[in-house]
Amino acid sequence: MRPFNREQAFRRVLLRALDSSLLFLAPYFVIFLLFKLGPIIANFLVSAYRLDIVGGGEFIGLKNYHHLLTDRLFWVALRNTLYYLVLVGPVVIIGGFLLALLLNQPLRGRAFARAAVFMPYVIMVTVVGALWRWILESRFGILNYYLGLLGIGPVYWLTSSSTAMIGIVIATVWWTIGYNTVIYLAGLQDVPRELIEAAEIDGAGPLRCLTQVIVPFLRPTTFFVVLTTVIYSLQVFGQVYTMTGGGPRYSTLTLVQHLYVTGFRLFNLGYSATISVVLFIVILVMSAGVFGFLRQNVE
Amino acid sequence: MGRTGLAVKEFRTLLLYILLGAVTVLALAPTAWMFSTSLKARGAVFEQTIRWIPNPITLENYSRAFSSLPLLTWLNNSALIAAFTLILTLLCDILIAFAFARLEFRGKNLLFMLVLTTIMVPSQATAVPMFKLINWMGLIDTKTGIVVPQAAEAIGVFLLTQFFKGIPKELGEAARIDGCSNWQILWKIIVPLSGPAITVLTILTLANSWNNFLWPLIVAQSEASITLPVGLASLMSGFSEAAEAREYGLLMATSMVACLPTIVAFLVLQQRFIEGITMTGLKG
Repeated sequence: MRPFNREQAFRRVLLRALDSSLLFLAPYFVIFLLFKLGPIIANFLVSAYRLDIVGGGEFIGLKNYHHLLTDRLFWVALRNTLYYLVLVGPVVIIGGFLLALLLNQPLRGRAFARAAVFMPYVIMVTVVGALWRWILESRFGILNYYLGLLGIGPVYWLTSSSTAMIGIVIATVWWTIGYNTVIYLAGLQDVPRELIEAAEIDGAGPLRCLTQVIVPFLRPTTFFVVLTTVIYSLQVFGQVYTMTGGGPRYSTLTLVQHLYVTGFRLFNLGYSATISVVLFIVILVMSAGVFGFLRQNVE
Repeated sequence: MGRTGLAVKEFRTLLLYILLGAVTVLALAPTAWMFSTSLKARGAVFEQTIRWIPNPITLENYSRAFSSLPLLTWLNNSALIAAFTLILTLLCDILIAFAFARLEFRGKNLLFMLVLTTIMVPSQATAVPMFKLINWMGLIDTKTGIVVPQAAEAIGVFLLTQFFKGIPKELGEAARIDGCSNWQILWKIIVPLSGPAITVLTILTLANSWNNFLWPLIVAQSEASITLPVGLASLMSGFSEAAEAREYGLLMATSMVACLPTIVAFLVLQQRFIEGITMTGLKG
């Protein structure tokens, strides 16, 4: 038997520890359990409580959900969020696709244009909010100035409840359309040349090539773009918070703005969690809808 | 192809160039207007005629932004938070991705699926419990309270696991026979070969942290931990309507400072940045 050597024993233990899977799993998993999975589950529980910042709160069962039904602002927020989705969705999806087609043409300066279209996407949301508040300013804003040259206006973009949401949509389209364009550009690179050439030999014009070869080939890309656009649109917040704060007269109040104000301005945390449960369900249902629609289309 | 065919083709090309030009101008004009406004003197912001090139050009707004606002503190906080988020994210993600890609243990696939499904859950849906948790831990209004939850994002785990799986198994096995531990295999073989994936994750993590708004807005309450996006928002809501109208020069200068780092980084790393977006489909 070898004499006991502390140093060697220590090294053996260390080596064993460095080799176990637990060492590799633990750091992420602790943070994941504590700050991701835990809160996801806890959120459902919290929605059954009347809860403010300090203390454990009071269990009230489904009362928060009952309150939802009579909360006029919740319904306004839900309607506004869907309205926003209906306005933004088609523009950034179809527009993103058309832009990708244009930027995929063999034109000079194409690389520069691609970078230009994508560049707004890296700007932080509060800057987007500040910038577009200035552009849409009703008296001195540059957009109204150019509209004025065309004999239109002035439009009270963010201060009138009929146009405020349109203003937010314009800013969002500028900010995010490049993202979908990049995804579609990546998809277009994968369209096999032979497929297009074969179609051309069969006498298909550019339009038929587009509708019968390119669009069907890009179906997985479209699925991804539609899904992410729906999911992220339902979560719209930063633009609303900085551009209008939900006003005027709640015309731009969205679900996340409502849950933010309820939870972190009025400190009604339990009810805020309830709104987020509904947001989560709406996102789940809409995503399932997109999945179902795609499957139906493939079959 | 006849003469008319050629003319049609030329016309089409011309049309495409006009479209390309228009799209480029529309994409760049708002940012250019922000830059232009930031260089204008106070009175010149409200001239009746629109001037893209300010006359005179002045840096007054920038010097005011740095002297009258806690802009340096915001910058400093944002940079520190982004750096620490990056270190924590890289460390955690590299370790667990190695386990998912190379080690065998019970429940591996289930665990991987569990991590991935959380990508679907919007961050707002966990804001309240997270706030209570952070509050209970005494981390409200601290940088740690902003950083740590951001390191739980699953997208990096997915990205690195996929990349690690693509590295030939034989490379590790040979080292194993020579007596290397898993730890050594990871840091001496896998990580040095994973430059592209780690670069993409680095860019995405830094950009997301720099631009993140809702969580820092909830956690940061005093000047000591306010980040750039939150500071900018507080600046806007702090103006009265009349004051805001006068202060657009200041607001645009502050905005330029806030987004310049990401714009410069994007221009330098364009190719990789776009690669990262298409690889992960991540939105800030």
